[in-house]
Amino acid sequence: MATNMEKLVIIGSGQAAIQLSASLRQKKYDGRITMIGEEPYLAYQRPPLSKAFLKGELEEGRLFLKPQKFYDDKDIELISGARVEKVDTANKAVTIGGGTSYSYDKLVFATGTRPRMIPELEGAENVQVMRTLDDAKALKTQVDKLNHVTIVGGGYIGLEAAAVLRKMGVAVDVLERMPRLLARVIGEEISDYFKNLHEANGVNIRLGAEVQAYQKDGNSIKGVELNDGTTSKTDLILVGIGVLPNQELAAEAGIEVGNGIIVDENCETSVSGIYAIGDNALRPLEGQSEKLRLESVPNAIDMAETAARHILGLERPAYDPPWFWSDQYDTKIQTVGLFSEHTETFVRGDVAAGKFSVFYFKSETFLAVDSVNDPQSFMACKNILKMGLRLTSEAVQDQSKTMMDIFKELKTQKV
Amino acid sequence: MAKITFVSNDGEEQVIEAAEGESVMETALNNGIDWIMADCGGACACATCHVYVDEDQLEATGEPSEMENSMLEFNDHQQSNSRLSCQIKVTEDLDGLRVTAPESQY
Ligand SMILES: Cc1cc2nc3c(=O)[nH]c(=O)nc-3n(C[C@H](O)[C@H](O)[C@H](O)COP(=O)(O)OP(=O)(O)OC[C@H]3O[C@@H](n4cnc5c(N)ncnc54)[C@H](O)[C@@H]3O)c2cc1C
Ligand code: FES
Repeated sequence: MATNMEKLVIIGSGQAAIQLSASLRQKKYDGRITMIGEEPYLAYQRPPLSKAFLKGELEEGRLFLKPQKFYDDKDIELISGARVEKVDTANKAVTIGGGTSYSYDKLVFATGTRPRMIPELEGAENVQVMRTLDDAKALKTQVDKLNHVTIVGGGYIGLEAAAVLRKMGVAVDVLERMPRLLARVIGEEISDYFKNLHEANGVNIRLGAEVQAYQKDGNSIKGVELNDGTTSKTDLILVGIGVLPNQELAAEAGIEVGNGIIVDENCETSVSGIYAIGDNALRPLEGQSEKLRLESVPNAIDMAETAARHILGLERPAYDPPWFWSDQYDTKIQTVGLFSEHTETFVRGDVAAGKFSVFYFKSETFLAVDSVNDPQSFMACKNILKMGLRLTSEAVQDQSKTMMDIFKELKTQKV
Repeated sequence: MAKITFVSNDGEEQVIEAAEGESVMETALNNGIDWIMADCGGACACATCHVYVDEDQLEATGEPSEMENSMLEFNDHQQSNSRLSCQIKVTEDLDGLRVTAPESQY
């Protein structure tokens, strides 16, 4: 092996890390690639953990994004079950637990996030989070013995788990502090839809719920008392109240961080030759005045592709508007764009029939869409945002036309 | 077991023994076919696992769902024999299947 070969070290071995490795090799990167990951597995996909895997419809072996053979064939070194404890930017080396060091020419943080915990629940034996394969396995093996699960936090992961647990006959309470579900990520119409959907499936949704006290019996939580005076029994608590970026290593190494490791449009951090990609990165996004940290598979893929190209001195990839999906019961929600600055919303489709979309506008500028069982609107809007077409609120409100018609019209207007 | 032939853009053919029960997309990914992206991992949410199925074999692959059709109809490279490979389940009936790469997955 040539000694002057460039050495690239990736901290983390999740979705973003494997995508970066694959993308570099596909583009004929000839340096050395070393992925160091804390988890004892090949890179795997997390989305099924709270969906098909928990339900027992997808076995463990099908979670892995690439087989071992891929790592061998593409000469990607994976050091798994090893945690990077220190990054030394002066000497360009990382050190793992046990003391082994690896030197690098280029370094990538693909460290993801970790679930936030409720301090009072720390260490209790029947409290769980849902981030890793081990978390999902731990929950899955217990399901048979559970009668009643309390999910703290009405976000995507908690609601997906709620849907699966209901299907398995477990009683589920979802406690959400905000006045609606998924408040941070979707609009009110969709929150209402999901509330109805879960209630129709027997989930007890408690909005504006503040926990007064967790009732303990030894090291386990037996009940939850809310501020309205009600108390409910529980066999297990699943905490889904959001995540924290794994950025401490970077911060200690003198790399700028905020709510995430701060990067530029090439995914490069404040230190040249060091990148951050995926859930842990605070990145600039088209049309946004402030940098944002996104938590999704498409974001991890997009950032990995962007970093790969920068490492190889290639042009940035075409703009990919942020998107996401979630499956709950037989409902698929797909969202594209960023809705947070919207001033107006328009609904298309049939809410009662569970097939509709909510379009978000800021004055006359189209920002985003949330589509419930309506892939046509999602795909139309994904293309509209990608191509920079001007979708008007007037067009959206004309339900005599399909979103396909509207998209085609916009496309011909452009040329 | 079913033998599936994957044909890349430059006409390169790879014959793979596919395991029953997995999807054609999974068969591809597990065997180093790099023109199938499968960004969403088979959730029928991304349309980056697009393939062309030989016309005379379309029937054997089953009917695409409404969801799949909607995902495909915006694809610039859609043809009458387009399918999302994550939605095709491998069965013995698919022995001899040939799937071809579209010009691009994006
Ligand atoms: C249950 C669940 C369901 C989800 N569902 C969806 C969905 O439906 N759609 C969607 O788009 N997204 C979904 N997501 C989000 C998606 O999985 C993440 O956005 C994606 O995994 C981010 O990839 P990443 O590489 O940034 O982080 P990760 O995949 O989390 O990988 C980071 C890795 O780095 C390792 N690491 C951290 N610090 C160190 C260290 N110091 N040394 C060594 N290794 C380290 C971690 O152990 C971890 O393995 C879901 C996530 C979860 C948990
Ligand atoms: S893998 Fe995403 S649609 Fe097939």
